[in-house]
Amino acid sequence: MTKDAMRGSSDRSILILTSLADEPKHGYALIKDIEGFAGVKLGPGTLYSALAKLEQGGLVEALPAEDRRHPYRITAAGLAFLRERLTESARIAEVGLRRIAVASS
Amino acid sequence: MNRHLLRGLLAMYPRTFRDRYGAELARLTDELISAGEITPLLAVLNLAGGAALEWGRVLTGSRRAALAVSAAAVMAAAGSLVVAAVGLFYVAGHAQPPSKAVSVRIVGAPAAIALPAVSCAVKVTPAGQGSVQFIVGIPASKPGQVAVSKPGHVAAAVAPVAVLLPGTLSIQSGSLPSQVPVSVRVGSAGQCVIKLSPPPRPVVPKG
Repeated sequence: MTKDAMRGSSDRSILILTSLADEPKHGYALIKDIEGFAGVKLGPGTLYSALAKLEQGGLVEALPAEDRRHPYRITAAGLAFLRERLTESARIAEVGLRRIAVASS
Repeated sequence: MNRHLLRGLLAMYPRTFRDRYGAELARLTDELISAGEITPLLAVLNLAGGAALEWGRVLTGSRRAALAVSAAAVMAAAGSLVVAAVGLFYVAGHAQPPSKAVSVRIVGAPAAIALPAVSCAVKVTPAGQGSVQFIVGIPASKPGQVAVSKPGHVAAAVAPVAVLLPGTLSIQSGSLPSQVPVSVRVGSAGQCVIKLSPPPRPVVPKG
């Protein structure tokens, strides 16, 4: 998957990458973590569709199975992609905040 | 979930996906249902929607792609509507018999990314006060305030963040006790999660 193709990736992908940024997690832990920090509850089908896309794009990788389930780990490419997207979002938020402050003053 | 039903749902996925993720997906679905994190109905809809999307992905580029992707989109949309109606919203906190209607309207962002502001209008009956938290796709979130002045009135709160999908969603079964703080969180996928918290205890001066 090319970088451009991933660029339009959904917020779900970003949520998953964010969840994996600190440590590898398996599906259930991912769902609970994302619900905790984003208030978004992913369904199992939704999660694995996004994971498949991310794995195909080389942004996450499966670790050896533990208790018949694979933990997933973010790759170096995934970290770089996530950093870029978050930086971009932060920049846009900053511009928005500044404009709103000007408009409200 | 019934084993046959689960197997049937997994059979709807493309073979490559099924071979790679089928066992994990089945186990996770079972875990979520057992833990009460998802109802069997929602699991069925979610898996069916996921299968449709996977087929859409597999077939993209072929001559039949348009038809297949359209069918997938219709299935996903139908599933999403039902999911939205049944369980995208949940009300946590004190269980109350469903009595009041709450509608949450997300206005703004025509695209999934970044407009400087998004407003979330909350219509609450009866009057109350609360806070609105807008979640910006990912970790950043900005609190906003909402005040509902009169029963039935709409109070709009604006937060300087985006990454939201537009849409209008409403809850018909939510219960809102009188004067309870209402916290509305707008998730990155456009859904609002409404949580009720107990009303603050009144401060009674001693003596």
